[in-house]
Amino acid sequence: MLSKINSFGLQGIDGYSVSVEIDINNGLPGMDIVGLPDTATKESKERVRSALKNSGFRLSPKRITINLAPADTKKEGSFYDLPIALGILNATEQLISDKLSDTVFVGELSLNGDIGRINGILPMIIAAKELGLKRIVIPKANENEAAYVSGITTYAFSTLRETVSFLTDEITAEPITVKDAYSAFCNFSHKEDLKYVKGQLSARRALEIAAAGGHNILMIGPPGGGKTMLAKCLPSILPDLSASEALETTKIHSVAGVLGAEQGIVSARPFRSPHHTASRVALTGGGSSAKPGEISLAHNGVLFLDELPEYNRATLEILRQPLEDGKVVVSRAARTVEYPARFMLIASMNPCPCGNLGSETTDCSCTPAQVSKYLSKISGPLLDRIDIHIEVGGVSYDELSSNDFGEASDVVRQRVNDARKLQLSRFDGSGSYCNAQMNNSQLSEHCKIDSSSETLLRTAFKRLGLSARAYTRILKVARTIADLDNSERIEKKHIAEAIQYRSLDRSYWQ
Amino acid sequence: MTDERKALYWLPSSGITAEKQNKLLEIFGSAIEIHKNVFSDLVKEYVGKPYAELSAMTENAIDTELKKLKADGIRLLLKGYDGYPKQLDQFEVVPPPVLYAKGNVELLNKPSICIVGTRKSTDYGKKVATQWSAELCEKFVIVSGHATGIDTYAVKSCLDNGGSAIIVLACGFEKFDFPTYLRDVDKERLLFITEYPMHMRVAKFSYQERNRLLSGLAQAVIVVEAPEKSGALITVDRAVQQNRQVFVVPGSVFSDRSKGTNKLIRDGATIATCATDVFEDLNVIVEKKITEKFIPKLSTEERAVYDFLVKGTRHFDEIVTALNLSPMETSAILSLMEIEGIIEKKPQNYFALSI
Repeated sequence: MLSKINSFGLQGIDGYSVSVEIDINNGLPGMDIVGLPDTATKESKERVRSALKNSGFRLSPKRITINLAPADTKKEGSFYDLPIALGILNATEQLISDKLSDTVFVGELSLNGDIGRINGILPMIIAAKELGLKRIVIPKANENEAAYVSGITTYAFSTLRETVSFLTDEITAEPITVKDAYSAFCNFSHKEDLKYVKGQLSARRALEIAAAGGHNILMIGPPGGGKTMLAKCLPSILPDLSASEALETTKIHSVAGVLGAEQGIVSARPFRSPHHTASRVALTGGGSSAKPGEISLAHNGVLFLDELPEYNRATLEILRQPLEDGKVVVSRAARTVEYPARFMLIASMNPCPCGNLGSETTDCSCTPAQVSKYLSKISGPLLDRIDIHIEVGGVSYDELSSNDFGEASDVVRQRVNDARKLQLSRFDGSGSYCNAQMNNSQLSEHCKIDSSSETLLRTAFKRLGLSARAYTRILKVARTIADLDNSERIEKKHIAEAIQYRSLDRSYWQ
Repeated sequence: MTDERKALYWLPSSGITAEKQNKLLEIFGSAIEIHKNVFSDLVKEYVGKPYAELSAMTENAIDTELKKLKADGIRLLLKGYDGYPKQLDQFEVVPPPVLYAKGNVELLNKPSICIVGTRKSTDYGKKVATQWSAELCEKFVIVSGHATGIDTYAVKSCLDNGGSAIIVLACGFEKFDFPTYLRDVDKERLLFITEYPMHMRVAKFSYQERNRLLSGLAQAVIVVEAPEKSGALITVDRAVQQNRQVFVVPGSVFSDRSKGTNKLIRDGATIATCATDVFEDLNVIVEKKITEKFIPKLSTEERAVYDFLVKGTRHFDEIVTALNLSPMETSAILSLMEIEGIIEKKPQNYFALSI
């Protein structure tokens, strides 16, 4: 008898419908899976055989053919264990249920018949809902992830036996209650808080501006200056994650398998800090199954590159296109996948190899040639995409030991949220979300400056030896500063402050 | 060979030291005589390793090389002939019989001063080299070995301020990498000079050997910054042997990069604390430039920042706290003052008055 079960597979971060067809014939006993299965999928027959036996079902010695349709796309992973097992039961008439036709099944089986956790459940549920399917059965261990999608009835079971009992109406089961994504954010608290950052007033201010305008930021300073600490605080002052952003990020994390079992949804903006030995593939994503990389995991969040010049130059260069487009296309022999990668880049570096250049207390032991070699590791085009460079100086003992707390992240975030709201209404429908993404025409429309500011900029360029590329960057940052100030116009003081955030363009670096 | 000039060119072409060349010239009387007796044991003994190359060199080969030099715009300055710098003609200098020169050779007749120092300079050294060179180049040609660090800062600043420079190479012209920034400089303001044949590469000894010409060409040597072991100190030793005036710029007693210079002062060298000191000691009269005292117009906040910075270099955080302003306002004020040239930004968020 022929049986057909609905299931889902993953293509990038989107689910697609796979139907599992099972036919049982007379012939030499055996089980064959067709439809381009990978090794994990092929091995499924061994798991299914044992799971069926240990759940108290029979497996008749016949020839079983399993087809995963569409037959021309590669099937990866162990999602199909559960549908295959149910399909065999249905084909051997051990399970007769009218629920089978409009229910989607995904799940991995263990040898004793338990249903195990799988990666990428969220995109599958969303895809199933969009296809108009009524029910989906998922592993119990994935239930937290499923709780944030409404419009489809989701059941979570922990064993094959339980699933069969549910399908044959021997037991009744309650579907998963849908939670509001917003509730996940409310009881969330950030690990790092700006109030514990001692001193560093200019760096705090620069972080606030960066967060408000979505500007990429580069921190330059000696070791031990608190660059990493500041970077870790950044997610806590970024604007709140919206429900759609949260689902999008969760989808990526779900596919990559980095989502914790109890976490369910990514409720805070992700903070990814790949080590500087990271390869190109680790950053963009790839591998035979074209998995998302660090920059996609940082989608809607922060990508922190500590010790920027230590990264392989070729690795850094691949960041250029994602920084511009907010997405990355990973092409592999088997497939081409597009992953979203709209992240804020925060990078840190020392001013020279020994780290003491310009220090008031310690001598720098590097030659000018060493310093310029170190700085030249970061290419101009990449630097062009970083709007704010600041210097983070050392913190004195007095500041460290003082008990005064700085402004808390919550207060700063409030201001950031307000500034972002202004930007959202300004760019409504234009495809940009924040000041950092302004294109040239938007720049000339929204960043008009009066003649006195123009004069100021001109003098600044001459006096401070700023390089030409600084011009648009200063305007964009000044726009954000004006937004934080709730000012419609960019005033002279906004321009003046923005000039402070172009450290690397200063002549003393050259 | 009958032309003494050709013979003189032939002598150092295989790379024997100036000292040996001079000795041979002393023994044989002229380069022609040396060439005649090139197969004698005496010459062989003196020349040593490069003997085979030297003895094998034909007159034709010399002619071709001389033509090539002419085409490249390289002049030969021969000891005992016109154009050879007089200041080198001194026993202690060990004058090389042949000098290769490219650029304006007239610069050799002008008063000159040599600025040397460490390759790994601090901000302080850079400032001294840059500022002094800018002032000194008005009356002196700057002589330099063009190493990175102090040497380069001095040359750059001199050329930026309309001065002229003599750069003494430690290798042959073929092996010298002309820095890009020198390409745009007016050819009349530059002279490259070396005692080494075209194909000779730099070596540790050639740097040290070259240093005697740095001090030899100059009237005086200024040491800006030097650690205890430094090439700059070799130049100082040579200068003392050659009876040249040495000026030493004092540095912080805590700075490694000033250990060498401070030791020189302790040993009795002349201190120079500004370019005027150098001018005075060398009896050079410079017309005083009348600079109007710049009185900036300041707003209340700017005045407060000004008054605070009068006490010295201050960190951004300190300014914010002392003035009781928000970081945002402070940034804007500091920027404006910086653009007006009242203050300057130092690395790591420090600010200082620039006037």
